[in-house]
Amino acid sequence: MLILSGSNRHWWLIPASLLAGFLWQAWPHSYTVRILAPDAILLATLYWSLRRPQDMSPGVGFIIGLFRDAMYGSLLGQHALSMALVIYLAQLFTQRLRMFAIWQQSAAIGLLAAVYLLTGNWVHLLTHNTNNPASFLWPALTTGLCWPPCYLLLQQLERRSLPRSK
Amino acid sequence: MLTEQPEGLVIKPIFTQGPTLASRLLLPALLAITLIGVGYWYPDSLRGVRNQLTDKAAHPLFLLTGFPAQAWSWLDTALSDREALQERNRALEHENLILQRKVLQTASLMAENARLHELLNSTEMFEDAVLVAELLGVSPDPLKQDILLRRGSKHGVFEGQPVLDAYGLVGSVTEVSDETARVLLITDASNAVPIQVNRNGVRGIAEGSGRPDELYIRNLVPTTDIHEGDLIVSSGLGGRYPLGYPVGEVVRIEYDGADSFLRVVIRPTAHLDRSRQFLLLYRPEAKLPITAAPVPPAADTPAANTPAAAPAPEPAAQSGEPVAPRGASNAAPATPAPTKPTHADPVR
Repeated sequence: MLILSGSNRHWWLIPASLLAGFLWQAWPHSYTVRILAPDAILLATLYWSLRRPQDMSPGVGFIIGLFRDAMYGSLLGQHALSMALVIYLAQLFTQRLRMFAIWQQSAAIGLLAAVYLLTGNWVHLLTHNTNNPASFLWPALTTGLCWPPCYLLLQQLERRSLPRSK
Repeated sequence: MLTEQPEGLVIKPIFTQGPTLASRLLLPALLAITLIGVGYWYPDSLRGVRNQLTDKAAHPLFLLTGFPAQAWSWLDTALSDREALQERNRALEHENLILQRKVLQTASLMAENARLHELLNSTEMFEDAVLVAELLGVSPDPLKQDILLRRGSKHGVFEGQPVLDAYGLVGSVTEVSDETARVLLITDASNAVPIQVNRNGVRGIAEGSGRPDELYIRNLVPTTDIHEGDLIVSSGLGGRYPLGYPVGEVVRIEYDGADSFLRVVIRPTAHLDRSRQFLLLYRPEAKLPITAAPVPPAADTPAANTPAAAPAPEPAAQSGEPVAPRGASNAAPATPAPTKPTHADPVR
């Protein structure tokens, strides 16, 4: 059942977790923190892609990516494309990923985050004449490392509020 | 994804399966690629959409994240005791008085400067009008040095406008929406500022490094007269950044023997990571390059072909030849011949 369908009292959980992700990204961190910071929007998105695929699809990821482009000032569609692609990949391997132990999931999430960043970098290379230093990949590592606490937190919140998904 | 069927009515559905995952990717991906293409080749067409998204989504979001810092400083003021506030008030008035004196002196200096420029037949020095803007947020992308300001096109901000803070040049506006403006900092990897050394007028271009604390001047010959501690100011060439605003200070000079060029590392004077208030500059005739000299009458051309009369938008002048130390004056590309010799004396 779709989370946004009328009968669900706790429809706000998914939008709230995404908003928290956006707030984290928009926060005025210091330069070093910004380079290393995990991608909170991606963490929330991937969690819901795995747990509730009926609510999170590449199309929804596209919209989220558009908002992200507006925030970052990049070309419209850059993050949208990466987001849609990564959600697709996550949902393609959902069955397997659900079977993994938490630390294996971490590695997989780290890889998905790397795909996200690499796609973004590829679009950037095509459309700009500056190269990004290799440090653009740090968030892949930290996003993977932050997956376990994030997963557990969202899992607790989900159990208490949402009906069991199919 | 099958629809529910009311009892007694049997409708045979045509679509027995929902869309496959791959088909769910196809449409958004194609749409995203189209958007990227359109945004790259026809950037103006998507401006409306970007501005709407920025104003309705990014603007409130950054206001929200900026709220704690503002609440903190409000709290700090509201809870200060009266004496501390009075003391602070006195200190500010004192500082204000000192600055007012400097302004008085500057006014007469500028008038004198304008007269001297007129004698050399180059452009008038315009006084810049300013708009104060507050910081809205910093761009989350660590690979791009970029900030957002709380002033937009409805306040008169335009694209390409130079931005300063209290300590030096900050960057220029790259994108304007109704409520916000996006400023690319001088330290961004894709930004470059035409500069000159304040002490002797040696010209160069300071390129951003992508890191928040360094700019580079590249491709200077080793005999260039530039030392550690030199103040670097904008030279006004190229028309985007006006003349005379501090850009940075030379931190070190690196010499790569293999390349036989110098690389000068500059630390920006502006507090790029700390300032919350910025000044946006207007020139009385906006978009007029500040070094455009009036075209002299045709009679004066013969000696105007000297090397030192090369046209203004020339990048880093490092030929070591009569790039005469000009002090704080403009490059005067089309000055008529008679005044040239006196000005071009290499006073080294």
